[in-house]
Amino acid sequence: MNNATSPCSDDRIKTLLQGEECDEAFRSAAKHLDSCTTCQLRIAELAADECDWMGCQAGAAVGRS
Amino acid sequence: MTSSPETRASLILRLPDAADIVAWDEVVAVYGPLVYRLARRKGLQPNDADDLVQEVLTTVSHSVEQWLRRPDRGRFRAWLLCIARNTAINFLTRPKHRALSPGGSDAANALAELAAPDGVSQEFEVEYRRESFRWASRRVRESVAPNTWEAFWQTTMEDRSIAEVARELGMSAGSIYIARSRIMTRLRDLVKQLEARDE
Ligand SMILES: [Zn+2]
Repeated sequence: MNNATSPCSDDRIKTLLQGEECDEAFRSAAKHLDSCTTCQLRIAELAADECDWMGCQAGAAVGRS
Repeated sequence: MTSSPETRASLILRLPDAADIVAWDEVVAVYGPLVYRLARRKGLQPNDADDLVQEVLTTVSHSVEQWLRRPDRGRFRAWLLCIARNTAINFLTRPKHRALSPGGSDAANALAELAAPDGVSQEFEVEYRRESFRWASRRVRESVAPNTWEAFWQTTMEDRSIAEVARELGMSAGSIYIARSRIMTRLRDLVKQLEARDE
């Protein structure tokens, strides 16, 4: 699934997470993600990891501040 | 919420050597509110909690260089918690605070809780995590477009569906996924950075 030649790759998702929004690589990855549910799920999966890492308590506390 | 964080920051920033080693403005931004909230939860009035924060940070500023020279110094937040607890005990046993609460029960209860260090340090850890998250959110929020922040906030903290938020913000589902994931990554990096300063 991380095949570099496949349009669906974690590398492309990393570009979306950390790359410059005006870069060509970012824009093409974003365009791909718009229509690819596999990559949407994958980026959401990575995002959920981050959310766990931050802890729900921390998140909930921000709402009250 | 509390009195001027700038004052507290400049207090500590006056220490040039210490400022080289730790990013004091960030430390103060995180620990000031943290000590304040703990103090409030222990029953201190807002003004007293504010005074306590000032005292804790003053003590830190006076002894931080010495602390930095200790080879066995451990983590900054353990040290700060220790100072906060001692300062609070000292604070609560002053006649002024005993007189404030009839029968001295509030101060006595607060003291009893402070004397049980395990509970306090656990609370302190939780507060620390919250505060570092708050600090990181403030910074990230200031640096992104309002829509990007909303996309993150609505779909994570408010638990709303991607499709719904996409419609509301006039964004594609794909850009919602990207926006919120980028924000989470940045939040995590900032919190880690802060954490790394305390290792
Ligand atoms: Zn894909």
